[in-house]
Amino acid sequence: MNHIVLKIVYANFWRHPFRNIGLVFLTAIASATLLSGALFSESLDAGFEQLSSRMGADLIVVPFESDAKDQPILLQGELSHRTLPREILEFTRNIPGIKIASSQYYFSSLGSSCCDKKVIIIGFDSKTDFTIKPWIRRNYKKDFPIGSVIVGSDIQVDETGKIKFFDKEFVVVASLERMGNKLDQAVFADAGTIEILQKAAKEKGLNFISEGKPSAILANIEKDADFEKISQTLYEKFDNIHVIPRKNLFDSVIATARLSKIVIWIIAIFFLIVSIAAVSVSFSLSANERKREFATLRVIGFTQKKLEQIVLGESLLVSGIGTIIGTLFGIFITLSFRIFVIDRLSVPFLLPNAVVVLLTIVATLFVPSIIGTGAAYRIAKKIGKIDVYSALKEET
Amino acid sequence: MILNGNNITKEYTRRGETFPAVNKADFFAWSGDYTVIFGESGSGKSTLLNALAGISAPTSGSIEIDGQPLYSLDDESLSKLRNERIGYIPQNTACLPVFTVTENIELAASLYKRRVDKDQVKSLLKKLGIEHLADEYPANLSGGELRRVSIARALVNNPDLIIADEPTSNLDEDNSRKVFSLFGRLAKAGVAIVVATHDRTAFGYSNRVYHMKLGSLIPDIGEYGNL
Ligand SMILES: Nc1ncnc2c1ncn2[C@@H]1O[C@H](COP(=O)(O)OP(=O)(O)OP(=O)(O)O)[C@@H](O)[C@H]1O
Ligand SMILES: [Mg+2]
Repeated sequence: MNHIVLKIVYANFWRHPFRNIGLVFLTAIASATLLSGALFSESLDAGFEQLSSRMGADLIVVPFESDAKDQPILLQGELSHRTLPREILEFTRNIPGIKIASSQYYFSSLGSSCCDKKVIIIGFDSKTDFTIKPWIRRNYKKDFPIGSVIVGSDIQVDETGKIKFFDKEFVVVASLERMGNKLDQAVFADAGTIEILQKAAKEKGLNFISEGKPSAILANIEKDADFEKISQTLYEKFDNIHVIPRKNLFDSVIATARLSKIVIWIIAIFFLIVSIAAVSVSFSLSANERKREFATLRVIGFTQKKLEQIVLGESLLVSGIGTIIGTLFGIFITLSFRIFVIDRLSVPFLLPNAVVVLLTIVATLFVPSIIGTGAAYRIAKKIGKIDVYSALKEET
Repeated sequence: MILNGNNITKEYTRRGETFPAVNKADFFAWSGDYTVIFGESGSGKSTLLNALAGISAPTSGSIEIDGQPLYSLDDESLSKLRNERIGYIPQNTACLPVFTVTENIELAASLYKRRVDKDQVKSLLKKLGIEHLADEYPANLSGGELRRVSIARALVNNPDLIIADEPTSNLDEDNSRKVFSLFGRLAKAGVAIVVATHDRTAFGYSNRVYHMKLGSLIPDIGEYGNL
């Protein structure tokens, strides 16, 4: 672009500062919602992939609760302190068709040295576990000695490398990579450590923990086994249990996530359309009121192309600034709402890897700028073909 | 510089009827010629000047500068030619309100070259009696002052053809004289001047006079000219 064209573009931005700042603001909102919409969608997808690959159990047995939702207990807002009968693990294991079964223990510490909030403690049986261990193994290859815990990525550990629950210290042997759900705020421990924890809780007079009783049984079934038959066997033997098949496991989470995705995209597209309309209307008005100026520029030797560049440049400046502000803002929103989404919507949310994030940002940088200039393109062409003599005669 | 127009016809359509605003006009000007076109309102003066200035192609006929047909040039070359060789002062012009008087003039000066001769801009403003307005914004200027800004802008690239459409329409007698005598000096220096005007002061400076009547361009012999 010619330096004179740039000079005109820049000077004209300040000619209607309020209008242009308004347009910048609109494009910023549009690109912020667009970017965060895209990042949200990608994060939800990534979160689900992570979740289903790591919570992979064909069936889960949990205590019956009248208002229980069919979703992994760990993703529910509140932890239940109900437990299952002690003998249920052995029983489940022996049902024909069950390939593997393992128990898990969930409870929350009322306070700990690390955190303001309650911490979810998840106990697993390292000898039989097939859901938690594989992903702990990615960060931690050694044993799980008694008295040691593994913490989720959101749990801060001080330099002592220890963490206190119920006035008792535990050694943190590993910190997990981000999962994008409530498990990031959880502490994991093998059955041996759980026993100590439960004793410590008892000593403090906390009775909600029933020693040795599991909170959930996770099981995988043989290929040709019949889920209905297995659950029937369990229901006949035990009262007050709830058997959840894998297919129902994520139903409500998926529904919430799908709904939030739709809402976000509707908002993003709405603002995109509003800002395109605003840019296009505003530039067509301002081009019209400046016809005499454009005609004069033609007289003194501006080419059609230079006039077009002025119009396009002005809209690109506005939508470009808006897009950059909006993108920064969008990144900020996405990061700061991450916790909110995980906590309130109880859906897994995991930012995709840096390359994908970067590509998304680049893509959303382009969209509003292209659309902004696209909205002005028709006007630019019209101004380029301006009839100089008629335009000069027009009253301003 | 030779400006040569042959059989120039420009038609307009009004309520479905086509009529020639300029009808088979022949126009010729050399370097140093000071031409005045006289004619009543609506006779087609502006339409003819627009065609001569490379703004608007005639419906038929040819216009050549130094043998180069103007309207066979592409937009890029014609625009550059307008900028560098033709100083056109239309009947109504505008300034960009975001720039000062000086910046508006420099706009034309620096369009196809980087360096602007600041002293030349200053001396032009002085010749036109508006040097005190150099840093003012167009919005704060009178109609006559703006007129002179557009004259300065047309002259800044030292064109060898100046086409002025009623350049003194809102100037007082004194300032009109200033403009016409400035054109006179430029003509002596070898610039071709073409002025359409009602202002009789112009005739004293000119050496060629045309009459425009209902689109026809008629060379005037005697009455006003000093040919
Ligand atoms: N765009 C147009 N469409 C149709 N007719 C037009 C158009 N522009 C000008 N005309 C007509 O062409 C004729 C010549 O107009 P032009 O502007 O050249 O006159 P002029 O001699 O410059 O007049 P004035 O002295 O008032 O400036 C007039 O009759 C005018 O009404
Ligand atoms: Mg006229």
